[in-house]
Amino acid sequence: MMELLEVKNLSKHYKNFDLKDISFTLPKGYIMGYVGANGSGKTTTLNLITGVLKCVEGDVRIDGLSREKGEQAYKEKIGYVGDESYFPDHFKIKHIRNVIKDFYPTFSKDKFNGFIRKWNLPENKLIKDFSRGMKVMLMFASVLARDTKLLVLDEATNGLDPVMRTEILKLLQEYVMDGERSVIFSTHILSDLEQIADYIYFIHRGRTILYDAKDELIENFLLVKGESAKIPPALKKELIGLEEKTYGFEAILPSDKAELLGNAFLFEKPTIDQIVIHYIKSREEQ
Amino acid sequence: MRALHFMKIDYMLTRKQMYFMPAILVLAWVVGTGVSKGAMSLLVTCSYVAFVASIFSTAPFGYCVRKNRGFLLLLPATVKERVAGRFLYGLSFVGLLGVFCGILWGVYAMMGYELPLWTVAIGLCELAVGILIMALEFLFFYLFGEGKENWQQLSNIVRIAPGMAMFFGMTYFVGKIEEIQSTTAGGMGIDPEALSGKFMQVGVIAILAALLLTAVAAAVCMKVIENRDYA
Repeated sequence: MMELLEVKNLSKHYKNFDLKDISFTLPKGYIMGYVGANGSGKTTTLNLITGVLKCVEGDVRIDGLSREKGEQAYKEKIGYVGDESYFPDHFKIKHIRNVIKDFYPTFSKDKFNGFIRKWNLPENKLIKDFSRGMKVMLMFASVLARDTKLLVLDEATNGLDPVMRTEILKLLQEYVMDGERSVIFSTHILSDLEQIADYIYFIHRGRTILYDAKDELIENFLLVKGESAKIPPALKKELIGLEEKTYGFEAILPSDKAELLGNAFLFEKPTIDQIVIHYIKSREEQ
Repeated sequence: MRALHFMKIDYMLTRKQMYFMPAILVLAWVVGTGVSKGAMSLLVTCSYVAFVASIFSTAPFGYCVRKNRGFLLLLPATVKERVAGRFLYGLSFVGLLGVFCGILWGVYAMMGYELPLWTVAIGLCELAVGILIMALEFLFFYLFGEGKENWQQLSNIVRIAPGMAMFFGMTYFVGKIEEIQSTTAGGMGIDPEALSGKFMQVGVIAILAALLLTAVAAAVCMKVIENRDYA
């Protein structure tokens, strides 16, 4: 498989936070969900990938190109959509069109205008008067109207209504369809990832917790439920994020430890949401 | 080329202040004629224009709050091009106002006012000081305050104080020149017109020195910003 995004030993140190040894690859034509709790380092990683943050330790390559080797070409390959609009508040759509046209040779004015019409974005309003949904769609219009290789989404769908979110998920699937482009997508709405992600990277307090193909990840774990009193010590040791509930307990268990369950417990395939929540719980307890 | 595109972005960001420019330039002329007459009034007008330039040329820094900076940072260009674009904006802004002063000088000349060459030289020195103030303000904003949102009061002082000092200094200086001129008329002191050539040399050197120092300030800013996060 041809790798589009290669992240190797990426680290970043702050006074109160360390991002440590983040490594992964994302092949062409695939979507990766980058998940974790607030403050886990998702935005820091994405900012390092886009080049907004200075990368001192580690290496990031997009389509084989590092930022140091060619900053302009590197940035041209990226389309970024954040959780809030990065466009100047006092700009109108015409100003954004003007700037993008100047900086990106692959920008298609017709394509951009098509998106503006399709999503009914107001040409004569200032960006600050746009709704959140309009701002997000404008960011999408600005990146989809040019030839990018990697779409970096930082909680772009948070706070959007279900119709708009569905539209965006459809867009992302269309984006990778040609097998040449990829998406890395950070979100708290893990049900979105269930629908479209091929890979999941789970980060907590700046450290890698899980990284695998989504289907493998779901196959690799079981969601276990039952009476707390019946948990044998050998099983208790293997349970991840054991949570006491009114009806008993709920936890995650690696599938290869399934023989420890016997007949006393209920188990099923977990969702990504459940895996993440139980892992976060287990890490918080450590 | 991309530096020019960044300059264009700054003009787009600050387009609203351009609407006020004609009124401000008329005000500068009114202030000049209120303080003195002929060439001396032009010197006061030009110092007021330099004062205005020192305030307005730094306006893009106010628009680049952290939230919006991502837009500029994501554009496919180097830090050098981005910083160069900002400096080009500042220089072109001061330059445009300098052109306005030049036109005013020409209009006065056509109207038959006596405009000694040494007053033109002082006008050039004012322009040089205006460029220098702009460069120092840019240096300050890049080194200490780029995109900081809680710096409103300090940044206002930095934007206003140097230009204001220059304007009041020039108004005082014009008063002194008039005093010296009346003394010269009495047969004492030196005749500045006899030294016009030297004055012009000083004016041109002042402009060149200001441009050189601006280039140095830009290079320092580029180096500092390159090593900074959110570069």
